[in-house]
Amino acid sequence: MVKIEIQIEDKAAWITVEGDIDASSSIQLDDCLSKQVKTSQSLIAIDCSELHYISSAGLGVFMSYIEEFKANNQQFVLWGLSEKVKNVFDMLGLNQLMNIVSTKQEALKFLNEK
Amino acid sequence: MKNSIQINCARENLAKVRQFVTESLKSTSLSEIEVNTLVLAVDEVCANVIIHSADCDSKKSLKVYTDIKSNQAIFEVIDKGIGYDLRSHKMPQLSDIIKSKRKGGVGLMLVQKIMDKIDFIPNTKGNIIRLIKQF
Repeated sequence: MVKIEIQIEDKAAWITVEGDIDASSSIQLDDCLSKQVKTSQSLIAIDCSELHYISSAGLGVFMSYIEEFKANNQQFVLWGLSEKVKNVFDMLGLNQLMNIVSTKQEALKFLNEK
Repeated sequence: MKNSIQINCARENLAKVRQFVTESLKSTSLSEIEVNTLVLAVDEVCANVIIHSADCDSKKSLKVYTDIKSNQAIFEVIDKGIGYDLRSHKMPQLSDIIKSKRKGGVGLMLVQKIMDKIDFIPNTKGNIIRLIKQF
């Protein structure tokens, strides 16, 4: 089960993902991210501090938007991952392909850098 | 302690498998990160069976067995669907998946990275996927 909330703040979409993202719930993440493509928000920041579990279905959704957000000049950042969730991203080397930072302040830098 | 669980082949039941595997590893001295990776590997195999072998038919079921010892964990996922030999799965390139915007394809890659040995045993009574991890 996953609970996803979106808060639009000026140029940023702050998305909170809470719970587990697996083969059952990943569609909710997909629905949420698909709505952020081509919006006027130049930062899509995902708060993962309450994300307790992610499987390949969730990773697959995140991966499928890397190129899309890039093509639309939108910065895509994940922050606040627990050690065990971050480890799953690291196992595939996704930490090299995605913006993954520790804090909200660091995520905000991506907006300010634009 | 109970060492098996049976679920109907619906994706919503994956959480039950994860809880079962987490419980079964409580007697070990594995860290939270290590437990999570083993839970992930079993979850990925079950998701694969539910989607590809059982075609998400909730009238079908699968069973997960655990055998946890001090130096190794063995997990068996058994189903009566069409079966899928994980060992023959060709690993895609991560860059190709990202370029194609595909939303799947990395689950078995994770299982191979996590587990020391993966066996597929086709059987008339059910296909067995056996995952072995040495500590």
